[in-house]
Amino acid sequence: MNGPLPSQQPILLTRGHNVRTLIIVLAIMAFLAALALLFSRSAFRLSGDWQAQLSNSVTVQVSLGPISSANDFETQMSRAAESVRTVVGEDAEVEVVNQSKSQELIQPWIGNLDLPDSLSLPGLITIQTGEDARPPNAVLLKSQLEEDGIVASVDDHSRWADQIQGTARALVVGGTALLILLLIAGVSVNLFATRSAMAAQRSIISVLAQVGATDSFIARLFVGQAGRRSAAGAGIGVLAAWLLWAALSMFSAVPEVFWSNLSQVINDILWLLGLWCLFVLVCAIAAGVATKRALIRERKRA
Amino acid sequence: MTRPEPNSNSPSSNPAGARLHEGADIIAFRDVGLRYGRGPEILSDVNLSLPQGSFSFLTGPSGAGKSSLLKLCYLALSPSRGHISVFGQDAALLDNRETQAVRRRIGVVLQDFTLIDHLSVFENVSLPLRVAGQSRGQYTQDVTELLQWVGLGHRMQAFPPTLSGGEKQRAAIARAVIAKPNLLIADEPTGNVDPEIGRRLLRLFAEMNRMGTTVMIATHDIDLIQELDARVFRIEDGRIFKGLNAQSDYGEGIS
Repeated sequence: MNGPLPSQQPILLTRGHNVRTLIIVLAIMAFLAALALLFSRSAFRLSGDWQAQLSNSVTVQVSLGPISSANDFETQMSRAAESVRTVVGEDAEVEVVNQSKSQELIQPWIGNLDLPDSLSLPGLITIQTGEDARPPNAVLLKSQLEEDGIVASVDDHSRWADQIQGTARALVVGGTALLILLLIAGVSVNLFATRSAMAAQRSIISVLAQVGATDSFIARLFVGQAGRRSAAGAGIGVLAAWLLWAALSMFSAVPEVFWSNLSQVINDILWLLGLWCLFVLVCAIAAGVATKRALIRERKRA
Repeated sequence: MTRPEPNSNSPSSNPAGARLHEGADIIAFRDVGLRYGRGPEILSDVNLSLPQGSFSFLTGPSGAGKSSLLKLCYLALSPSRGHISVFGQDAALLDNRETQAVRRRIGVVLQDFTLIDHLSVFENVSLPLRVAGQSRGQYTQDVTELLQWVGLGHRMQAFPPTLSGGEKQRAAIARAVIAKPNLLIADEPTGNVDPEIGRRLLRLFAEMNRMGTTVMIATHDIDLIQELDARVFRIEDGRIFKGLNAQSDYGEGIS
């Protein structure tokens, strides 16, 4: 015997010019799938933040009577603010927006013009409740203002919240659909690769069958091969997506879209790990199914 | 070398088949016919039985159907008609798992060696044990001993493409016998080796047979047939002529 025996060799061929190409293809698909997942998660997170902000705030537009002096504005708005406070209580933050700030708000539509004093602008009151507090009830507010003889409209931003929710849902559905498509592509690539590998290693399969290997034994060899291949490809792709997302979080002009705190980073890493496991699992299952079906077909032919 | 006993017929070591009584047929062909696709019959009305512990030669001209008959014996082919019984079971009724369990009890040496090129000689020979679920630690000593016995002790880590025809033949034979099969089927096993090695391999087959393994060897080699007092099946035009005796009927050679 020539020295100690080397470790057990894999029965199937592990090298070949196609293997590296296949790993690159799988890495690209996993990279895209990981980005789709991160975008979906980001959209979901942002919509949640925005919705929370909107649902905790209400804007009241008060139709003011004739104003001859600055005191008139303050008197009418104080009355309206008092009426609001009777409904929302002391815990809510009620803020009267002053006249100059109201004018600033309409500047995007009319530009930097000096507005005439005679132009009647509505008075604005913003109400903000804490994150854990119940949002202000718009219907109750409206009826209280009417009861106090104040003409006002109450906007609880539900229209915007609904739109944001719809957009976020569409983004999440789109991202999930893209992710599923990429997984299907991964499965297809593995089916094709397994069939090719079986065709290329037909003589090895024949020897294995000759020495009594069951279909399950042979399938396990191909499943293991596909699993290792997918683990490498998906690992590279997911890691690359994670690095890109981390870089964007640090250097992007819109950092709120990316990671802004550690818990988001940890959560998304867990999701990415889940994606990696799912990718490897579906690719391995695809290889197992392809192998079993090919072996059954081969046996029927014999 | 002390070769371990071949598999017994105890139920625990016989997952595919029922217990065989002494002298029962390991393989029995009844009116077997074989054709490939819609072509002519390669084998016709073959009736053949290999009693347990028997030693038989199968001979006949090239293209007579020897290899096809051997493939039927180790279930690589299904007959077009007739019945084949293996280890007391109807081969047609075996499912995949049972078929593979039967194959694990049959050692096969083919003309083209069927070694796996990217596996070393050691790995090739240990393949049946690996497939049967044994760990490397369990089979290393057996494989090493057997390779030394067939004269490949110094080539254990070599790969098949670097072996001579004779070395490949010996590696293929070692792989066929390593799992101590109940039935050993060999197709021209000494075709590529020199007479000295050929006789040594025949002694290995005879020793396996003495320990209970049923042996069937397909060969053109009259000298090999004359070495042993064994049954000879002669196959011609797809039909089998049986019951000949190696020494009395082939003493003067065959044409």
